Amino acid sequence: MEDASKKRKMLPFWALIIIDVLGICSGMGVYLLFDYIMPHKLDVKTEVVAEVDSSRSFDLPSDSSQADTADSESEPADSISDHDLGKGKRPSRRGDSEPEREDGKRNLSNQYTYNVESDESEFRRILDANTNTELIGHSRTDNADVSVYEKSLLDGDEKITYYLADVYVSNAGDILTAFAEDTFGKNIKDTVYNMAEDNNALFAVNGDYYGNAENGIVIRNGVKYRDTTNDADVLVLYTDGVMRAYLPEEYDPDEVIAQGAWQAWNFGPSLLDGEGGLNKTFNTTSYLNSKNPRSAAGYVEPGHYIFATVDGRDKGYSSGATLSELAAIMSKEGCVYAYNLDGGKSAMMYFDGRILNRPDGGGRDMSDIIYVERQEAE
Amino acid sequence: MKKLSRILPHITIILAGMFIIFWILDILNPTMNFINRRLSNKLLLIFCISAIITSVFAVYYERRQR
Repeated sequence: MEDASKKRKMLPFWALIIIDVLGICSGMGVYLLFDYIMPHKLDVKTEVVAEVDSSRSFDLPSDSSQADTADSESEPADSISDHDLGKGKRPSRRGDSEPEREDGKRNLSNQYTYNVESDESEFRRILDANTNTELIGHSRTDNADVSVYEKSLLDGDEKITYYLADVYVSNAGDILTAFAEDTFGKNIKDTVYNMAEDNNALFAVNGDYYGNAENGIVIRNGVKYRDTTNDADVLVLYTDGVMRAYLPEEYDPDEVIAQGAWQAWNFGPSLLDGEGGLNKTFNTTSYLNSKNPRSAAGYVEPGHYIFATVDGRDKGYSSGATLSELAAIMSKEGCVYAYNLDGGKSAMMYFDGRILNRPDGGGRDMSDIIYVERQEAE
Repeated sequence: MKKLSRILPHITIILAGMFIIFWILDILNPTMNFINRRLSNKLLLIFCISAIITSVFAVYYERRQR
């Protein structure tokens, strides 16, 4: 009799399974709430590792090149070739000796085995595709010359629309970064728009979302916040204007800091091989290599940088880009190095008081931006 | 003691389920790095302790039944 009542009290086996599954869901919810949503200010020991090298200044492109004078004057598609925009008319400094690094560590990509093979055919297809280009803004100050373009490639469901900023600065110190709420921490987030406005930015693009990870190199505006590497590639902008991408195995924090690291991002992967060619493999997973909205930073020469934001997940307007396609877009713009920044809903570009692109789902808050400050020309 | 022996297997199952999810998410997007986070390390410790105690109970009851 007692046994029978005990048996009646026991929950059926399927109910236990449901309770355990609900327990797993609740556990995940609590975990994500603590670790991914609640902001934590991190009290880290910061260290100033580099200062602006004012002795090294780069020439801005001659103002005559701005017959395309900005103020949102648009030109018909196909009326401007890529060559005319930003390259042919502007003085090239590529030949003027990029400062050699003492250890000769220059084109270090492709020395190691990455995880995902790049797709040469995708790369070629984008390189060969006609680009429709429209200048949508230009601004020039004493320290910077920024032109932004809306570009599109391919047709139909395969169409890719992206926004490109051709940035010339007179000193590497003019490429700045900012944290959300001006605070280094975990899950401290704000919109790209707010961060840009708070920092008086002329141009801004999302950064590497450092606040989403507990590890990874963070050097911003010459201050070292974190020096633990993770498994992702590292991009470094030096005070001499040189930008380099490193595999995690190659990255030597002491050496990089000794050489004057002004900014360092840890997301990736690195896309180009240092000569504008496609990296044979990418340090990422095949899941992350699919077509997505993306942002990228590219290096042409000291003082000349390209930033691109590719829209995606909206067929007919823009399908997004794979990493090989993004590499081709950056190579097409003359970059020798290019680096994938945080993408998806994070991919956003700001210029002169507005977000240029159409972020997926309206975009999301994130932890950092890369920007060029608005300064009035004297 | 009885209550503990009833609850611990469920804690073990829940934590095991969470770590399977972390593992899958890390395969898809390694930059999220769920498994190596500080909080995950603490959960891993709880998971191990819970698994050991659950197993000890299981062995004990199994021997008693024999």
